[in-house]
Amino acid sequence: MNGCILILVALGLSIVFGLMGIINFAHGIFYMLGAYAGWLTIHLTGSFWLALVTAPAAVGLIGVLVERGVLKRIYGTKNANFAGVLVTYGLAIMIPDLVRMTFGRPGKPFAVPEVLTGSLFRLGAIDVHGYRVFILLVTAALLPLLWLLLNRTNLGLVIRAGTSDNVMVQLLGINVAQTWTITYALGAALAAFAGVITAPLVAVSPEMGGLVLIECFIVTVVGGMGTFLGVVAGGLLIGEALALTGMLYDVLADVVIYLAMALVLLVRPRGLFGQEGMSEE
Amino acid sequence: MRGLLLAALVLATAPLYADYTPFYLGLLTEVLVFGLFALAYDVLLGHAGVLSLGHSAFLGVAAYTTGIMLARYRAPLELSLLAGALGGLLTSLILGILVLRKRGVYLAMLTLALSQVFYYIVLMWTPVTGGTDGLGNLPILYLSDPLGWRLSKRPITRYYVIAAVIFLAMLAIRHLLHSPLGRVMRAVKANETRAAACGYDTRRIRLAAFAISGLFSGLAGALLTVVLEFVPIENIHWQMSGAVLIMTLFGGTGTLLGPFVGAGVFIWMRDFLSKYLEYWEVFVGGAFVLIVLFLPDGIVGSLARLVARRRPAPIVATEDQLPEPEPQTSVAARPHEGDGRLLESRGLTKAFGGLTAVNGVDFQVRTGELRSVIGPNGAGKTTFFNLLTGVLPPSGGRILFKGEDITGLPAHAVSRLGIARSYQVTNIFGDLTVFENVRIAAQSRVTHYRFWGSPDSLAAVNARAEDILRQLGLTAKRHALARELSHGEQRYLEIGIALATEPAFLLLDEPTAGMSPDETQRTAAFVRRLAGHVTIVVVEHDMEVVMGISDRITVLNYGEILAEGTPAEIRENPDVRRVYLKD
Amino acid sequence: MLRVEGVDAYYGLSHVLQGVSLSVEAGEAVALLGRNGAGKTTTLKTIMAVVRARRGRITWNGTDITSLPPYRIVQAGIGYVPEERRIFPNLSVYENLKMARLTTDGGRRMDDYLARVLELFPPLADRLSHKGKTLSGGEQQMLTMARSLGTNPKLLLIDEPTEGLMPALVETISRTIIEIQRQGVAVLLVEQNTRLALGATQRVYLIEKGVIKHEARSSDLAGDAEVRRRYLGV
Repeated sequence: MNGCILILVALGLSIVFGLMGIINFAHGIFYMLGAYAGWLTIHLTGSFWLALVTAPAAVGLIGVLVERGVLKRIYGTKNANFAGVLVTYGLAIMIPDLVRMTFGRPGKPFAVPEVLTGSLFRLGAIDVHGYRVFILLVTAALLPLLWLLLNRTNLGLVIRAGTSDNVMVQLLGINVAQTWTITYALGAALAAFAGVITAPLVAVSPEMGGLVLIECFIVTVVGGMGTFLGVVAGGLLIGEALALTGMLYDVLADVVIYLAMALVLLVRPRGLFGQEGMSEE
Repeated sequence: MRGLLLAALVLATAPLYADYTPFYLGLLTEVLVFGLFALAYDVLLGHAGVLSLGHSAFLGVAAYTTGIMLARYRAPLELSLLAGALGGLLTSLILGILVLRKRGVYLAMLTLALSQVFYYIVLMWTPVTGGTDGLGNLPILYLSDPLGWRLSKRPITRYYVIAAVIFLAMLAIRHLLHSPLGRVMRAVKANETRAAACGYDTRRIRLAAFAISGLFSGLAGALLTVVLEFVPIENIHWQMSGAVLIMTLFGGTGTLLGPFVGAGVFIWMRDFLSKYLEYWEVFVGGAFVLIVLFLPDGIVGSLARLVARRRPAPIVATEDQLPEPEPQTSVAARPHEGDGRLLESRGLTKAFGGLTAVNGVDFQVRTGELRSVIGPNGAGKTTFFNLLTGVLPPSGGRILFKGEDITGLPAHAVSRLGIARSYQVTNIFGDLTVFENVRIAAQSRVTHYRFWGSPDSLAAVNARAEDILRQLGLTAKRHALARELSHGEQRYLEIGIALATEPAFLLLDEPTAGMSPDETQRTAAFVRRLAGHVTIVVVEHDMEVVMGISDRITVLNYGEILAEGTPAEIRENPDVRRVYLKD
Repeated sequence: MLRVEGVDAYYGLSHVLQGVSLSVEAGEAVALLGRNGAGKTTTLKTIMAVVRARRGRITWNGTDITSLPPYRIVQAGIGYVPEERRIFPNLSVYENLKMARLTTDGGRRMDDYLARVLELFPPLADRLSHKGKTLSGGEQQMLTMARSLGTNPKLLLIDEPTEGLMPALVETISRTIIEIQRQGVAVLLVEQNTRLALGATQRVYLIEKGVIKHEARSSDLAGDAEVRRRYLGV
C-alpha cells in the first residue's frame, strides 16, 4: 500500500476523529466506493480524468447521507463513540454486499490511463513507473491544498476550533451540525479520491476497503492522532516500511507495520508527533 | 437454578428436534460452540465494559493449537483441547497487556490491529498451519480411555460430548461472574474511577477479564476444530471478531442466554438466509445497524426488560424526609491520639502549564480532628483533594500519611492505606444496587481477585454493608438501583461508599452540594457525629455548616494557605474577610 | 429585555437552581452575587441553554428562548463570556477573534472589528499571531471578552472576569464593562469581587443555594455591610 495513498486516506479518518470523536469504520468503504465510482465513470464516459472528479463528488454525497441518516441519531447519546464504531461497522458489512449486487462479485479491471503507463526512468535498480510518479505528484499537490483548507478557510477554522471545544463554537453562534456533515463528507471524498487513484494498481473488488482501515489506523497510531504532520509522517513511514519489506518478503511486510505499531504503543503511546491526551477515549 | 435445569433439558433433547440428521446436528453443535464464544466475548464486553475487536486471535490461535496438536503430534483429544484453551488465554494476556494502557474506541482499534499479527503468522507459517488452505489431516477423533467414544462421523455422540463441555463451561462462567471478582468487574464497568478510589487496581481487573474471556474463547476455538475436523484460516481472520460482536449484540449483552440466541440467529442467516438470498450480508449488516440504533439490549435483553416492566414494581415506602442518620461506634472507632499528625503535606505544589493551582501548601491534620477547608472560587481546593488522594501527581512537595511518604502513589494504593473520599459531583455506581454500591466498597478490604465462591459467603463484608446502610437510613432502598435514588439519598450513598472502605481519614468534597436546608442540617449533624470515629477534612461553601461543625478551619486563596484557626478566629480574621467580600 | 421566570435547573439530580427569577432591561448593567456553589454560573449557563432549564421560562425581547439551542440564542443577540475563558488554544488570537465574526459577516470586515477590539484592549495588538495557549491569564480574559463582543450582542453575560487576575487588570475589566455599557450593550455580571461588581452595575441580585434572596440597587447594597456579610461573607 503506497505511502501517499495511506496519507490521503488517513487524513480523512484523522480529521473526522479529531472533530467528531468517531472512528469511522465505513472509511474503508468510501475508499472502495471511490474505486467503483471511478470505474463506472470510465465505463460510461471513458475518461479517467473525469473519474477523478466524479468519484469524490459522488462518494462525498453518500457521506452526507450516512451522516445525516445514520450517525446523527447517535450524537449525544451515552457511549456515542462506541455506537459510532458499531454503526459504521454494520455499514461496512452491508455496503460491500450492495456493491456485489450491483456490480457482481468479481473485481473490475481498471487500466492505467495510456498517457501515464510505462516506465519513466530508472533509479538504480528500480523502475520508476509513470503512474506511481503521478500518484506522488497528485498527493504532493493535494496535501498543501488540504493544509490550506484547514488553516486558511473559515471551514477549516471551525473544524480546528471544534476539535478542541465544540461547545464554545456553538456559544459563538455557529451551527456545528452543518460543520460535522461537511467534515464527514470531506473525509469520505478524500477516501474516495484515494480509491480512484489506487484502482489501477490494486484489484478493484468489494473487499478492497477492509485492510485499508486497519493500515490507516496504524498510520495514525504511529504518526500521532490529530496532527497534520503526524499523519503525513506516519503515512510516509508506514508506506516506506511496507514498500521496502515488500521487496524482500511479501507477507512479512504486513507484519512489520503491526510490530512497528506495537513498539510505538509501548515506547511513545501518543505517536511520533501526537499531542498529549489526544489518543484517549 | 430453574433456568439452568431448563437449559440442560433443552440441550439434552435438542437432537430430537433436529431429527437426528447429521447436517442439523452438526449445525446445532456449531451454534453451541459459537454461543460459547459469544458468551466468553460478553464477559469482557457486557460485564467488564471493554469492547474488543480482536477476539479472532483468541479463537484462531486456540483452533490452530488444537489442530496442530491433533494433526501433527497425534496428542490425546483432551490434552489438545486444553492446549487450545491455554493458547487462547496466552494470546489474550499478550493483547491485554499491550492495549490496556488505553481505553474506549482507541483500545478497540488496537485489539483489531494487533489481532492481525496472528493472522499473518498463520498465513506465513504454511508448513505448520497450511496457510490459506487451512489445517487439515486431522486423525479420527476419539475420547481417551476409559470412555473411548469415537467422535468423528458420530454426530450424536459428538453433539452430546460437546454440549456437556459447553454446559460445564457456561456454569463455570456463571460462577465466575457471580464471584467476588465478577462483582468487581461489574463495578469497574459501572464507574472505573470510583472503583479505583475504593482500592481496586482497575487495570489488573480488566486484564483478569481479558484472561477469562481469552480462556473460554480459546475453549470455543478448540471445540470448533473438533466440530469441523479442520481449521479454516477464516477462523483467525478479523471478520470473525466482527461476527462474534454481531452475535453478542443480536442476543443481548449481560445475559447468559443471549449469546447463544445471537449465535443461532447469525448462523441461521449465514446458512439458510444465504440459500435464498445471494446477498445475505446486507441483511446482517442492516440488522446490526438497526439493533445498535434501536434495540441496544439485543433480542434476549429487550425481552428481559419487557418482562421486568410487566411485573408489578415492589412497593417502596416513600419517605417525605430523609431519615436521621446515626453513626454508631462500629464505624472504625479511632481514639483521639493527642498530637498525632495523621495526614500532612509539605510544600505541596501543583502546576498546570503556566497556572499554579496549589502553591507550597504545608498542611497538617491531627487524628480525630474535623477540619474544614474553605476559600473563594479558584482557590485550589479540589485540586488539593485530588493531590491528597493520588488522583493527580504533584509537581512538587510531599504528602505523609501516618508518618509515611505516600507522594505519587496511585489512587487505588492511597485508598488501601486508609484514605477515602467523597465527591462534589455525585460519583456512585449508578447501574448497581444501593446495597452493592456499599458492599463492593467494603469488599475491597477483603478480596479483589477471588474468582470462586459467592460474595454472600463474605459475612463480614455483608455485615459492614448492612451496617452502613442502616446508619444512612437507606436500608429500605437497598434493592433499588443507585441512579434511581433522590439527590439527597445519592449524596448520602456517596459518603457511605467512602465509609465502607474503613478509612482512617475521610475527605468530603462539598457533601451538602445541592441539598435543601433540611437535608443540609441532617448531613452536617451526621458528619459531626462521624468525626468522633474518623478524622475528617471537609470542603464546603455553606458557611453555617462550616462554622457549626468544624474543630478548625483552613482558608485557601490562590492555592496558598491564607489563614488557619478556630471558627471564631477565622470569622474575625481581617484577611479572610477581605478575600471573601473584596470590598 | 431578558426575563428569567421561575427557572429550575439540575446537574444530574442536584437541584442547583430552584425557581430563579430575574430580569435585565435594555442598556442596563446588573450584577449577580453570591458565594461559591450558590448557582451564579449555572444561572448564566441555563440562559445560554448549555444547561437545560427543567421548569420555568426564559424570554428575550418577548420571544421564548427556553428550549432553543445555544447557537440560536447567540444569534438572537445574547453573548457569553465563560468563567474558564475557553480560548481555542491552538488558534491564534486573530483566529479566535475571527471565529466570533463567522455568523455576523463571515469574517469579511475584520479590520473594523479589530480596530474596536484594540481600542478596548490595546495589549492584544502585539499578540495577534500568537497561539491562544501562550497567552497569560489577563490576556486570555481580554481575548474572551473581545471575542464574545464580536457576536454583536445586545446583552452580554459575563462570568467571573476578574478571577485569578492581578489588581491592575481588575481595573481594566471594570472600565471595560462600563465602556461596553456605554456603547449600548446590556450586561449581566457574575462576580466575586463585590466592589467591582457594585461599582460597574446599577442593580444587583443576591443568590444563595439556588434561590434569589435579595434584590437591590447597587449603590444601596454598597452601603449595606450587614446584608453583604450575610450572603457573601464568612
